[in-house]
Amino acid sequence: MNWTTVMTTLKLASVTASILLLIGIPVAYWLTFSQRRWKFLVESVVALPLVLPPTVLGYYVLVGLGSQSWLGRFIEQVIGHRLPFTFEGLVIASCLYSFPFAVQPLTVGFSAVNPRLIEASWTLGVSKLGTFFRVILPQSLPGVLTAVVLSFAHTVGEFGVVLMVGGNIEGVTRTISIEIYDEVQAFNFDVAGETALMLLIFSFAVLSVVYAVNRNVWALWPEVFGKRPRGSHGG
Amino acid sequence: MAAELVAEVEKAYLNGPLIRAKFSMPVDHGHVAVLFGLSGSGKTTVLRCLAGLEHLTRGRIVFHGDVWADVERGIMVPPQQRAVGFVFQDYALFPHLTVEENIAYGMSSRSRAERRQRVASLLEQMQLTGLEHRKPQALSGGQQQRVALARALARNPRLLLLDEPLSALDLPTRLRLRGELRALLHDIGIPAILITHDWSEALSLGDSVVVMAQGGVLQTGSPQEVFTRPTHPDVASLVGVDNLVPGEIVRREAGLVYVQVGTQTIVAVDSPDNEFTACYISIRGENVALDREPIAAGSARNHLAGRVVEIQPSGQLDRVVVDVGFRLVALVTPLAIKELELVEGSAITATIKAAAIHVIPR
Repeated sequence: MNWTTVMTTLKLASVTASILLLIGIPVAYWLTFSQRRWKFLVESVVALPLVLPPTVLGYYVLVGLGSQSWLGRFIEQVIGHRLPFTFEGLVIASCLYSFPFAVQPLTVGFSAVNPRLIEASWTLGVSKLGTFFRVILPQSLPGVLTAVVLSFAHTVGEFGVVLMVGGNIEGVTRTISIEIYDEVQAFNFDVAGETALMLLIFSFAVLSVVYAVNRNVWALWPEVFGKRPRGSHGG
Repeated sequence: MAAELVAEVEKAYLNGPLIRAKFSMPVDHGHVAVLFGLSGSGKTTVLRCLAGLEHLTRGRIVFHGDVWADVERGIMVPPQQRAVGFVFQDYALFPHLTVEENIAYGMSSRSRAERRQRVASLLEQMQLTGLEHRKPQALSGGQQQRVALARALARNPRLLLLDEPLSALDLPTRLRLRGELRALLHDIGIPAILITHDWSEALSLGDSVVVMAQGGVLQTGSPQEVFTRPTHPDVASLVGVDNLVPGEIVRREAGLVYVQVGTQTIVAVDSPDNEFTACYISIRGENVALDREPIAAGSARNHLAGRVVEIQPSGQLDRVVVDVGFRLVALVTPLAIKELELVEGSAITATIKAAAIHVIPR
């Protein structure tokens, strides 16, 4: 197993998951609480990467960020180099690709918050933004955790988009899944199998965490979330 | 600038009911108005409109000269700026915060010392001292209700809105807390609007009653007026109290209360909420029996001598109004009236069992 590849993958996944959390929260908030009639259009756009073949998404990102497009040329002028086949370009593509995996758990988390709690906060004079940080976010921690874990894991496992946008540059854009493909192409089945097994175990562990957290958040970290006392009802 | 709340609320739901309510109440002292009606009559919607949690479809809300909402003029003051205290039916305490943090939640603009002092005094006033570090889930229903009240009162609201504040509690707790709530609302002197579907609660807590049904206001007035003289047949069927008379409790003994009503002393079964003397007694007309001769002995505790004032046919039973020192309505069969040869002026004895008399604090 190639540790450079592992490090590249982990770096890409961490950066992507962090960015997606920052972008995903306002988008998920809007999707949860907006009353706009055309909301479904935004929902469809957000969910698009779920059904779009990664190569299609990769193709558009490649073309969109490449020097043929006005956007690509503009970015090239601002940052001084082109984006395709760089780590930054890969991050942008990964963010688009894993976007629904961040937004959907957040939306689920936000909409599970009892609306009375939000209204209670408003009647106590706290603004919508204050209410978000003091009531909605603390009440949807499992959703936030799920969003981070899923977008991280989904980025670790991506292949098509990485190949299209990032290419296969060691230490820059070569990720674990691409390495497996390379090893199989080179008939190194032992190395490929070792890496594949590692990814399998990783994915299973991640999903176990997600499901455990969403079933009963208290069971996992009673110290952090506070024990729920049973039946201590006096008068 | 009138010291009153004027509410002309109209709220239409898409493919749903239309709710219309128009009422006013004084707000320069701790007046308690009760919105009374069955579930589905639109009470909660009216309360939410007052809090700014719902947009009006039409109408306006003016509190002490301040326009909170006016659809024609496009005014909608958000809930944050109305300075109301809202107590939700399920209390809506923040489950991730302690009792103390819940109460202090709306006071972030005050200094830390001021906040601490206010929380401490509210904890004491609400008998919650010692529970400040508990989470809401670790409290009994009655304690949760008091935390919700303390949280709503912490910011010194101009108007207190309570949505069925007692309905989430079991009956004995409800009766006990009804007394506490009455005393509290009386003490704090903040005008309040309270929702209930329990007429004895309305009677006990309200200075005025607004009766709602099918999305509209049927009657407004003092509790006694509304319940004894319903102007609308729906109000009558909602409450249906034939007799509601104010009295004073003079003695409590062996599970019974002795209530002075005019010149008569009425014996009734004591209520669990028993820290009051001013009361109403309510008696259903069906539970009053009439006899021509004085009763020598019997299981019933109350035998009141008087005269028939009026006999009115009223469906299957006739209403016989008797003067026994106060006006008492008995519902008896036409056959009984015939057999007893009752006419206006007949001397009779009215008999009522102690258990048939409902004593309600006032």
